Amino acid sequence: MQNKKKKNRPLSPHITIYRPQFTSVTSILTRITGNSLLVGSLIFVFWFISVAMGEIFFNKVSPYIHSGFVDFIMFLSIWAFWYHFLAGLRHLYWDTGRGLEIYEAKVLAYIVVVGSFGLSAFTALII
Amino acid sequence: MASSQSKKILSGQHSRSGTHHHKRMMRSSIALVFLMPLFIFSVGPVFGSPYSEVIAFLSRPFNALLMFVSLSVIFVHFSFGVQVLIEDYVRGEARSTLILVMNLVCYTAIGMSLFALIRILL
Repeated sequence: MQNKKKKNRPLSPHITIYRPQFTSVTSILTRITGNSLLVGSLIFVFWFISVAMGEIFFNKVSPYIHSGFVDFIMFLSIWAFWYHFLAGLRHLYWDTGRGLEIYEAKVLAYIVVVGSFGLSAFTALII
Repeated sequence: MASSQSKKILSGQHSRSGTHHHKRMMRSSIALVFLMPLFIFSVGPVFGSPYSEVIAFLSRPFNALLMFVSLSVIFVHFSFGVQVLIEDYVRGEARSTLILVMNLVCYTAIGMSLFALIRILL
């Protein structure tokens, strides 16, 4: 009896029964961007390994690494990185016990979203 | 009765390491706050450069060190983060298996980038 109850317990973030709010969406995006960054990171590691394999191999795989599709992934990764970066800073700030009032949380959410686009544009210009 | 119930809770519900997991997440993210802007703006432009320029960039000790330290902390941080994701959405035996697989991916990536760096520098 007790075991059955235990097995049917819902898992912690009840996203399916939670009405989406601006602040909750920005929070979930932290997780999505962070975990999606694995793709860009592994592409980068593959590029790094191709450097180590020597010039011939590097030139052979270079067209694939800099194809339009991979460029698109890397560009999205830049945004995902800055978003995750700012949202992570927000988490560190929250961990000090500040910024948790509803008004402050909304302001922080706006800063994270607007800041991520601004920093992505800045990065794209420089790189 | 009370003690058997609390025993049940302790055995199946958590591993008593939540604080430790949170702290290691914070430590790695504080490190990345400083490392990542440096990494993005110095290594970023090299991604896409011709071979000789990449080698010239990596033969400077600071850049090589930044490359390895950043990649290590990135993947360690990722392994912590993805563990939280898996713990939240995957249950049963698949949970620990998936955490193990993701740890393997992360530490393989670190190992391979170290191997790559040594091969480039030698």
